[in-house]
Amino acid sequence: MLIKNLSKSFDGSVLFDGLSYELDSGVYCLMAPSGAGKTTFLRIIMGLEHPDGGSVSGVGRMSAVFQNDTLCGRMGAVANICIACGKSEYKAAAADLLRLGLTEEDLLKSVDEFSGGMRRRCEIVRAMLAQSDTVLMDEPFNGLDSACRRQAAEYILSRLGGRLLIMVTHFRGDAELLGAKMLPF
Amino acid sequence: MMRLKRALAAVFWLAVWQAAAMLIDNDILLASPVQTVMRLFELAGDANFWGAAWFSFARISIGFLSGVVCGVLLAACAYRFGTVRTLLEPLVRVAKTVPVASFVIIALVWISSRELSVLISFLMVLPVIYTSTLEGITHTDRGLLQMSQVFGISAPRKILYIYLPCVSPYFISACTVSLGLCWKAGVAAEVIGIPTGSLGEKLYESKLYLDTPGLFAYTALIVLISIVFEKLVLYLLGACERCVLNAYKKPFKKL
Repeated sequence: MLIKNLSKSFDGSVLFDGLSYELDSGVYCLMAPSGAGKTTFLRIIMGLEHPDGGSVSGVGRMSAVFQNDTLCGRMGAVANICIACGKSEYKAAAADLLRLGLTEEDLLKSVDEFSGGMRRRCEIVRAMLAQSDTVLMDEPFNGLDSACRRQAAEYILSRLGGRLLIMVTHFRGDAELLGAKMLPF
Repeated sequence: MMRLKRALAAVFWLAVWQAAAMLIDNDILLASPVQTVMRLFELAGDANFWGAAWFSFARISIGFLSGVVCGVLLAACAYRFGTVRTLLEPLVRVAKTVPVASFVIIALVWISSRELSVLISFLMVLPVIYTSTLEGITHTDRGLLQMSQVFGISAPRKILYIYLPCVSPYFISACTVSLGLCWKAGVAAEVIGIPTGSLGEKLYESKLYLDTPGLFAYTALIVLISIVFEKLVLYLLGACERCVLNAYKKPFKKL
């Protein structure tokens, strides 16, 4: 992925200016305090926002863990994953959710009945099972305790393959769990 | 417990009705529930009675269903194209505010009275379904839509699994409202247009011949048909909704 001279301002204040990266496969982390523009940076890569200047190329197919929940609350966890990943992934989705600590009973519930941590794990599984070239994660371990974070990080690495993963967070520990290369911001 | 309370409330009002009829003691002014039921059974033996029921049911149902289909399609177009939304706004406002009687009289100039109830129930249903469906689509979770964009989810899948669960509560409540509305307006149109062989004509004749028990019996029949139709439509909608929401849940019971 090639990011060239990316810049973005909000209400006259500059979030970032002249951001340039050339990223190959592997895990990269962008770490900055809250309000620094990490989410905006990811949203520009996702194509959900336009930059003021610069360009992003070579993203390919994407999958993502968003900062806020993007699950259909009235449906089950597996359904939420299959909507994005396709019917063929339903067994893998169930197996991966069980691997991340959800129970078989949880799989029959609606996502509305899930805790924040369960929803987060569901989002992680969806992002990792989707056919994508780039995985984007916005504070993926929010709402997970330290054991769950470790488990989720191991899962992400096992499913990553040769893809590019860009994560934004303000916790160094999260980046270390994934062995991520830090991006200057 | 709730059902018992509801049944007791119905029994209470039937008792009040019976007591009032006994007090007035004039079946032209007020037929009792017993007289109404007896007349209903009497009429049920007549083929014309069922013919009239079918005549009105078929036309009002067609009006309802076409109103639903057009309402949903127009709402989708209005959501997609701002111009369509702007163009439709005054029409929907007119359809909502113009009295049914005005529509009926205008429609009688253009179409045969036999098709009147189709048009009137269609006109009653269309704005309700259109407005609610459009509101439902507009209120679809932006986060889910952005997620579908990022993951490249196909349009049919997006409609089925993202829009439909968000729109269905609005749509079902609009159907509930418009079902009652289309029966009221449809039969009212028949009473004004008096198409031969319709429930509206039977109501009109009952009034003309001072057959109040008959009037009540036909009204009871209309209420019954409308309730059964409403329950059937809502059951089917609920079943479709459950089918979508429970997708991918069942196979895991077998895992």
